[in-house]
Amino acid sequence: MLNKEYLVVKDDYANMGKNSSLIKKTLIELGIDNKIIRKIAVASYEAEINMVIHAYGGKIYFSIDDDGLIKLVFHDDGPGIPDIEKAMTPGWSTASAKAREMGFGAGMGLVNIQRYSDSFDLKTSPEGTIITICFNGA
Amino acid sequence: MEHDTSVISYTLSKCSKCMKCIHSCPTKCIRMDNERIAISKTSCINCATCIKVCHYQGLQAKGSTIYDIKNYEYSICLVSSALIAHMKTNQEIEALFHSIKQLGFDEVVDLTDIEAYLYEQATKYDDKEMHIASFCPMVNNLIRVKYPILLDKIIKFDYPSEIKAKLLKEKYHDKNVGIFNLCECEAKLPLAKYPYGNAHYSVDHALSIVDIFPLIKNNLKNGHYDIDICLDGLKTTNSYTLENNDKLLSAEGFDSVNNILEMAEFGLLEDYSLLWLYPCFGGCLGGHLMWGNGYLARNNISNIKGDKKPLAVNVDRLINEDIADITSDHRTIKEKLKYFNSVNEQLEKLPGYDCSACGLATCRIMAEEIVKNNRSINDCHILNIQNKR
Repeated sequence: MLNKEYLVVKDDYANMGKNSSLIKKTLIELGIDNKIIRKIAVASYEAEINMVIHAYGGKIYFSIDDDGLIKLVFHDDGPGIPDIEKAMTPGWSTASAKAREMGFGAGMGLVNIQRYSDSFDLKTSPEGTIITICFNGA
Repeated sequence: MEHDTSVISYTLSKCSKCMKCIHSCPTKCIRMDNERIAISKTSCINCATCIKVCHYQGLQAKGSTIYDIKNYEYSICLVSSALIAHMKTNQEIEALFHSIKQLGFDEVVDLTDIEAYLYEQATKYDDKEMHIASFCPMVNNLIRVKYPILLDKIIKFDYPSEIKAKLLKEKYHDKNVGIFNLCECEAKLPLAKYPYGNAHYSVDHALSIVDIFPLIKNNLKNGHYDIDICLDGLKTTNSYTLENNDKLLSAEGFDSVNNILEMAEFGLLEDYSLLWLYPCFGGCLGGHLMWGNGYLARNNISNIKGDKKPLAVNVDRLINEDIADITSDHRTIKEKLKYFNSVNEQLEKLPGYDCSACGLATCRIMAEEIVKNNRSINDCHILNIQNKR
């Protein structure tokens, strides 16, 4: 069993993706299959930048159980997604001009997270959004 | 398969035990055991960072000697395109080839035509998915050690020197041919049978340019040798003369290459179809064994003339399946987690400075060694000082 927790700060563009990098490093050190790590890296990076660009920051909870179930929970501090159906439409984005200038905000974030993960769950309210994704790492 | 070995050798009498090499190694493959430097054969990528930081010339990389020519009936020297681009004019290139031949070779051959063809084939390789060019052994080994997720993205093309050597061995199959590759960097030295014992290569000997330069340096102005250059091959030696476009991303410098590989792991470069990466500044022109500056050499390329066409080879002949091979880990996830957690438990007791004073590159490696019972927590100098206070 392994449990880790990471802090994500709003608008911290300079450190964007650093936590996903640490998660990926841990998975490589653990010797998880490369194809699975690649899926996790893509999904986790997307979810992390979402927390920086769209949300007020938050926390990432990363765990692996003894059977190899890899679970990532992205728990942000709001403001929530007003229209989930729209947010899950490829190409739709509310990213700020600043984020778009940096090459983000293509509107594929949530779509890609779901596409790359084995299971995907999204709960949202004005207090925050919780995205839970799981992968079979055994 | 056996991976290309480390070519870095160590001289005990010159070592001041400053630990700079251990600290600076990008793959953390150097350690000090029993007062001696030891370099891991499997995770050294021959980047020569340690050679550059050692103030005492305690570390070096050696190639074969040209005296080995006498063991062969017919000897051929392959000249890297990087070396050719360090010449200012075609006359100087002819003089270079002439002076190399004077060392006792029967034939001196360039690699520009095969390099141009490999580049042409790599750009056409796959339009839909991102791939990484395999021409640089340092990049291939860096991916194997630090970015294994990207291993299946490497185009499985063999090294230019190797393809050329195979073709030459077929051409002279009735002779006892010795093929010598003149290398501009440490990373290319293990791509030969000698001196590092990698028997599966067709190149027989790897020569280091620094060893050869003193023998030819007075001869580089005059001399004639009939040689034609394929300019497209010469252009693949650095990222500025490549035709960059929205499908090809080329970069120079170790940090840039690491940054790009990390982005590729996150799937951020999927719009590109080919990554062409040079860990050295100035591309291959800036190879660590070259005597000149890579950026100066880059300006020579536009002055050099040549009509040679790319050397078309059957694509099957280009493939080397082993180029991106990895040994797999057979432990169960439970075993892996148990080991990982016990390492983390030790790591928390250590200061986390990664100072290398104990002779190991990082506190994590120290924690692993404690778990394996090779070291004890009392070997940490920082903790010992803190405990005395």
